[in-house]
Amino acid sequence: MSKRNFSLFSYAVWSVLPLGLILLGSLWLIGNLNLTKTVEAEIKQNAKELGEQITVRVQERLDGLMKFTNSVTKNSLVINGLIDVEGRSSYLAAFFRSLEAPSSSNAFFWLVDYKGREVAKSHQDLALPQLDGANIEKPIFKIDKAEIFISQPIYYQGSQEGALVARFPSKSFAEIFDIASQSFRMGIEQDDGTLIYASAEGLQDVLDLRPAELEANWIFYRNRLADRNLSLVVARPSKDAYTALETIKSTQFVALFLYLLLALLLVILTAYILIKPLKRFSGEITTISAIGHLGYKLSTEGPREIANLAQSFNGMFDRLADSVKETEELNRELREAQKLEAVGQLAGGIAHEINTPAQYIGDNLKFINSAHEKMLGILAKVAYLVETQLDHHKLKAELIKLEQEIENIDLDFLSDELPQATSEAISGVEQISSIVLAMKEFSHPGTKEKTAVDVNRAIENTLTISKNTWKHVADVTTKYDPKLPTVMCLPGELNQVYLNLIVNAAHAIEEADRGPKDGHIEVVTTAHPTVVEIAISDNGIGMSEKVRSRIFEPFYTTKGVGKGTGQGLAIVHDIVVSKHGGCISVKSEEGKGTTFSICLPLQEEGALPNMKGTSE
Amino acid sequence: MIKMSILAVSISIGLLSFNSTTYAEEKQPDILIGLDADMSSGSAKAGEAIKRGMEIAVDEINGQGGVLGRNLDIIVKDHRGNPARGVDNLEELARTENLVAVMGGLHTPVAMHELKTIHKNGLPFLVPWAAGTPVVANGFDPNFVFRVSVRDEYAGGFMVKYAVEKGFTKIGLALENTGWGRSNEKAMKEALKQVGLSPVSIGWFHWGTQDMEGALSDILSAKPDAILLVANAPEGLNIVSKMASLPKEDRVPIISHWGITGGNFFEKTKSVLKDVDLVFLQTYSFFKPTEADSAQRLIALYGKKYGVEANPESIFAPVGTAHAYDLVHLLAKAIAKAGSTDRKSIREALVNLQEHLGLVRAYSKPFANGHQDALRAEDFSIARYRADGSIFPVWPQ
Repeated sequence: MSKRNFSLFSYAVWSVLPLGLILLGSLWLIGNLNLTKTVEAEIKQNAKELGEQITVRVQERLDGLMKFTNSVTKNSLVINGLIDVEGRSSYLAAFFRSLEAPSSSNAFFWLVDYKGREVAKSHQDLALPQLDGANIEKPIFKIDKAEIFISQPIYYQGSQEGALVARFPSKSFAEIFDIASQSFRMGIEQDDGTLIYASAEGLQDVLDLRPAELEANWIFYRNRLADRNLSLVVARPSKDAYTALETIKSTQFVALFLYLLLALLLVILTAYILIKPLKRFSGEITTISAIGHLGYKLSTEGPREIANLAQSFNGMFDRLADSVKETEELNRELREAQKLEAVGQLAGGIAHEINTPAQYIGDNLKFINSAHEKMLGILAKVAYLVETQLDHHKLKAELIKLEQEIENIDLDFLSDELPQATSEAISGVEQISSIVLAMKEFSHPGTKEKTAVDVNRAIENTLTISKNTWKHVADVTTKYDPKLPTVMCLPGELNQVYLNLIVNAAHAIEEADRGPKDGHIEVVTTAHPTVVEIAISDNGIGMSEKVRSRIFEPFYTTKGVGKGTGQGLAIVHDIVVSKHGGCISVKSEEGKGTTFSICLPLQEEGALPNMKGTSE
Repeated sequence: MIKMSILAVSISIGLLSFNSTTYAEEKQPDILIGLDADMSSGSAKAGEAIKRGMEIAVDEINGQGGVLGRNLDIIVKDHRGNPARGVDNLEELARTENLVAVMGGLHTPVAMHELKTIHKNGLPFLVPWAAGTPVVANGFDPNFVFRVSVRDEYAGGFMVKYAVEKGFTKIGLALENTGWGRSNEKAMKEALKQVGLSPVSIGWFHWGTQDMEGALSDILSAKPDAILLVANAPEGLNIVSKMASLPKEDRVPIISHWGITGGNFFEKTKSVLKDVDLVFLQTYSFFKPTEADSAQRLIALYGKKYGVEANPESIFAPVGTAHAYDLVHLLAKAIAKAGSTDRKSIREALVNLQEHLGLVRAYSKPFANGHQDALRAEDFSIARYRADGSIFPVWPQ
């Protein structure tokens, strides 16, 4: 018994689902890795682009301050103010008070002379920052945590005559740099690492991190400003930045899960849809199988594939039905042929068997006929003598002659032999009659219905008609159970069984090359409570285990070409087991002999469930 | 050959003066005169002209044995027209030993800013060019400033007189926004008032102004028939160039103060000067010298010393050279009169000088306390640039 097979449904589900899971999982994983990389790169790129953009802005702002201060130095009022010592107080102060630097409302300006001494200023209460001997002949840009310091030389006729000094205190940094960002911490860092300005708290801590830590936990970008000894730093906690990524990831996961669920449902639905017609199909086939009627047509409705399959099955069934019909016909013909073959085989033997008594019947009849003629001649003479009433003499002479004639015909002998001859002829006729009866009974065309049969008699008949087959190789011993009950069977069919087994036994003995006096066939019938057992043994060649295991297969034969078709025992098995619900077993020993045992149930089929189909 | 002989003479003079210096050093150090002027900026020509006048005078004096048996020498400081530099230079010069006086430059604003330092240090300050009235009328007593140059107070009158004579009645003023400009505003207004006029418009401009359109259009909007200009070379050339660029009918004659001659005005405007009617104030001219002999002698020395042709055309910014030359001689006389290099004594001597036959004029008591301008309007003239850039007086005839 094979283990329980998977249903197509679970097959579909269990083979598609893990595949789908692996596929989608891989997709998710690959997608995820890819996404992570992409988003990381995107954010870094974003930081870089922002950094570059802001750098440009910061640079522009600082350049703007330089440009602005430079433009002030070009103002002729300022130049004039350097020269017009007495008059300048009337306009310079107002001019400086009115100065407004771009993007900085908190700026302080001074006009200083060529040595950096104060000339004018924008805020009266402010002291001029220490220039500390700085070379103000060239533009100065200084930035530290406290302020942006700018000094722009003022030129007149190609020589530096003064300078404009501007201070932008740290409180104006936010306005100047304008680098606030919601997602990034930005700052301006000096080349020596001092953080001058930060748009958000904690940027210094970030800058203080070891490079590895920075790399690991921060999206960090530093971009140096051209010509300023300054860098713009842009930082964003990786964690923070990846929140978006995590959201995307979890959304993606949920989406994928839903997708999987949907896929699973789809698989189940598909499997269901596919399996439904298949189930119907299978049900119909089961029905066909159960009723065994090949004429039943499968429904060709439903999906095309199933319909095609059903059509194919129907076509197959048709052909199978034809085939079965053909096979049955063939079988019938074969069996008939087998029977004819058996009869044919037996015919010679039977003819011989009949010929022998026929011969001596004929001989006896010839003898009787001759004796009768002779005796009739004597009687005719007697009758003549009576009629003619011859003289004595003559009579006497005639009587002497008659006496001679009686002597000549040996009447005594004839009187002795004639009854015997008649008896022998009658016996011969009887013998022939018995053979003919046996033949008649043996070859009685098989009834389709079972009849009560005397198995002993049937076997005896078979032995009789097959005598010529075995009598030259073996003697037959029969041990008929006198109490053997009749058996309900198909006598024609069973006769074939006995004949087959007896002929096989004779052939086996023949093959064993035993002398006629050494071959023995024993037929034993035994009555059991529920069965009748028939055992036919021989001391023939026997069978190997290998041969024995195959003897009931159709077309299997060990006999030479022309001697057997290989159908015999297959038919025997079919008749005993299939048609009669009986059993057949074989015991064999190579070189020693074989015994076939047949049991035939006394009751109808099913009476011997425990023995049905068994063989040894 | 002539050039060779000039060179030879120059060298021999140089050697002589070197020897005498060496000799003097062995006894007493040179008496030093400072020069604090714009030597490199917009009015550097004025500075150079002054220096040359001083040098020629010093050479002459030293050639005649110097003063008090000591040679004179010059220390040059460049203030580039910047008052702050001027003061710094002056402080330094004031601390210099054996320095008896300082010659100033063209710039009134510088001189004005230096007044405190001058008087704090009691340093005689000689003015060969800066014309601002308050440079001399400075309120300090004793006053250490001595000028052989134009005084704006007189210049205003002189220029207005010229304009009136030329038939101009609608006078506009174009003034630099400095003490010098304001000094002239006052003088010119006063002078116009004297003749019953007042300026039809006043335009002020700053030092360093490149585009004079604004200043000029302010003035021209009142349709003046002449403009009195007070500017130095850098701004003056912008004004004149702008004027030249106007349509001919819009152009107005310009009567300028002499500040424009202190720099490269001519070089930068010569291509457009023909389009502008420009005259300007001068004092002395080597073309029409008051003392012909002195002029000839100086022209000869000038040609020799600076390797140029000995003619009036060679002497650029002639007023600077002439005034400085006279001032050095006056100073030398004062030193001699004082008999010492004591700055106060020299100042005293200056206000007590009597007669001196100078180049610009014959001085009789050139300076007195409270009257320390040696020149008068009678010493002034109106001149034009000639095609070769030389300055030629055209008025009075």
